[in-house]
Amino acid sequence: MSTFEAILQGFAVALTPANLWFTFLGCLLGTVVGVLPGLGPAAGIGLLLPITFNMEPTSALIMMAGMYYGAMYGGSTTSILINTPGEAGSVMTALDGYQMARNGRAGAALAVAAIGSFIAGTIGIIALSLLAVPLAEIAIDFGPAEYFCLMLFAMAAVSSLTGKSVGKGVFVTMLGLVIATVGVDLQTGLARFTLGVAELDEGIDFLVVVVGLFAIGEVFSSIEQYLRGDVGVLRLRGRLWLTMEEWGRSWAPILRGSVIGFLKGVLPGAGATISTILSYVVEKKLSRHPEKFGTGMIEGVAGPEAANNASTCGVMVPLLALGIPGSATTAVLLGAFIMYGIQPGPLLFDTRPDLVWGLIDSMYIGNLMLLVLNLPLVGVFVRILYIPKALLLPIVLSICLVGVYTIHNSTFDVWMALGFGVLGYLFRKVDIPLAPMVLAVVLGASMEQSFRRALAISDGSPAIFVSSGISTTLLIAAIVMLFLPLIMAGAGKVFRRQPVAESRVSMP
Amino acid sequence: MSNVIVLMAVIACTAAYVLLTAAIPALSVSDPLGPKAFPYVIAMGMAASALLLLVEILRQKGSSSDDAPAEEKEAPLTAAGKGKLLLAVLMFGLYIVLLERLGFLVATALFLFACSSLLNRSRLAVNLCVAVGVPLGLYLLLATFLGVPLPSGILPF
Repeated sequence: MSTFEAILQGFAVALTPANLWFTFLGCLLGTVVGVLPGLGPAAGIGLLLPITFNMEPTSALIMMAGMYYGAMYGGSTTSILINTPGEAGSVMTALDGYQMARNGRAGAALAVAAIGSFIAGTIGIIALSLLAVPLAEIAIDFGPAEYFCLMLFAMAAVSSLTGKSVGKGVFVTMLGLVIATVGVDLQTGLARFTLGVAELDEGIDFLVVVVGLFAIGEVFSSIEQYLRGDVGVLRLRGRLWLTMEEWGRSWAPILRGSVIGFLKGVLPGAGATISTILSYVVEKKLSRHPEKFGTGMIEGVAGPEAANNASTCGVMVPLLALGIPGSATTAVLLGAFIMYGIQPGPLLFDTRPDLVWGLIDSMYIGNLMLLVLNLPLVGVFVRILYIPKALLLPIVLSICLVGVYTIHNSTFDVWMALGFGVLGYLFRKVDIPLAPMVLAVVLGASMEQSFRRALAISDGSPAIFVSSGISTTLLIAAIVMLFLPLIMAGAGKVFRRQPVAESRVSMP
Repeated sequence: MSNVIVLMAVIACTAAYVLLTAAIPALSVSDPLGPKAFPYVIAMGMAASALLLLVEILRQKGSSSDDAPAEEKEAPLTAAGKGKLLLAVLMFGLYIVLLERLGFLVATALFLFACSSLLNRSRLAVNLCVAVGVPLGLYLLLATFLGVPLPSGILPF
């Protein structure tokens, strides 16, 4: 079946009333999650997962994808209105968006963010539809050695691109792998690192890690901020439309941002954050008034917002075609796939085209829904921010508890989640990034499988990892990724001048 | 300074992991590598990260701190604030302990009331309403609507 036919068949899946409802629900919940500062799409999807156990996998994944890009839309709202990015991809939007709000142009900023995101999302999804199958076909010939090197590359990229310190990124990736090795080893039946605790025989569920690190840890950080007395100032917005002049200035940044966002999203490693930074820098360089950036230039909102949304489509490409997540949120999505017993990768397009294309096509629909939801309903979403933090934070904690508890009906899991929450809080204090850890936890088991299988094929010789062009290229790319920040530090003084408050925001 | 602490922690973790890996009993039945191979690779990775961290710390000491102006140092939390944060964490722990004994509804209500009052003592009535309303709402949503079983504890349903 040709790709075009597959896309049409996917619409048959995506347009069923049930799936339309789930797309809507996902987008709605995602916008709420994006609006709430702190909780990002990774934590949101993690909390949603236990509830979806009894659902049809396609519907569940559609809902979770909806939450992913819904969160992107929601995050821009808080960036513009209260200078508090709802999630990492919205940090750049706050620079000029909030200034626009202060100048009375909040409506225009919100409008350009929504429209830009929609255009970018549409472009991104079309690109995704066209790119996914060819990429999957390349990967059909991948053996365990190639997969191992691919996963290594993904982890190296995420370690080095997330946060300022490669050493910390690598360390936390290793920690994630350590967590993945806890449990009974399937090939020999030996218990590893369980320290005699029976509940650990099954290993540590990645959801426990995700909810603990991202949700509970974030709440603790938020409680600390609340106790410190940080209070956001809310502003009412003006008229929700763009003047012709503003629109004339915005469409080119939107297109540029879409391309930048999508391409960066395809490469593993903090897609949304980096693509928005890149887009902002590009717009500033191309502008006739670069000195005005930071005072409310609409290009500074249009470009990054488009990049943000396009990158969510970009990251779906390696996830669906190769089974490789490029960010924390896609790692959680991968975990969801695994939980449903579905292995994304080249075979998925052949064995379950209905699921893949249903999912991709639901993203078209979701983007449309979000455009409609966001412009008129922005006031409603913003009201969520009026809920006093003293009430909101404990409620989020109790939702976390329920979410983790219902995975295995086990309080032990909740204790572990609490432990990870404390760990997440401490890591945030010392600027240790969290996204690489989640990636490693989700990929750890497959990585070890690939490792052992590759060495079994080669009778223990590590030369197999450099035996094929693809695996060698990936290994070299992984090493380059790790040293990239050092290389860039010399050349990239211009990147350093952006004051990015990344440590206070959760990763996409 | 904090980076040095992190470095110490990394070295400690590496050492601990290597020791734990070595303690796994060796069983070379089918797989010549056994269950220890991958963990050792991970340990090597951790050691590498310690080296990278060391390099970064040395570079920071050497070069002029052009990062400093971009960082806004947040005001440290007061002692009372730290106490409240710790108390909140402890409350959550207590919540977990009581979850199965008292049941979801009662435990959640207690936790919500206690925690929200800890954070904002001035609106006790609102806190109470929320503390009763939210668990009921969640219960309706999860137990009845989605069929997710929740511990009942001391209540009959």
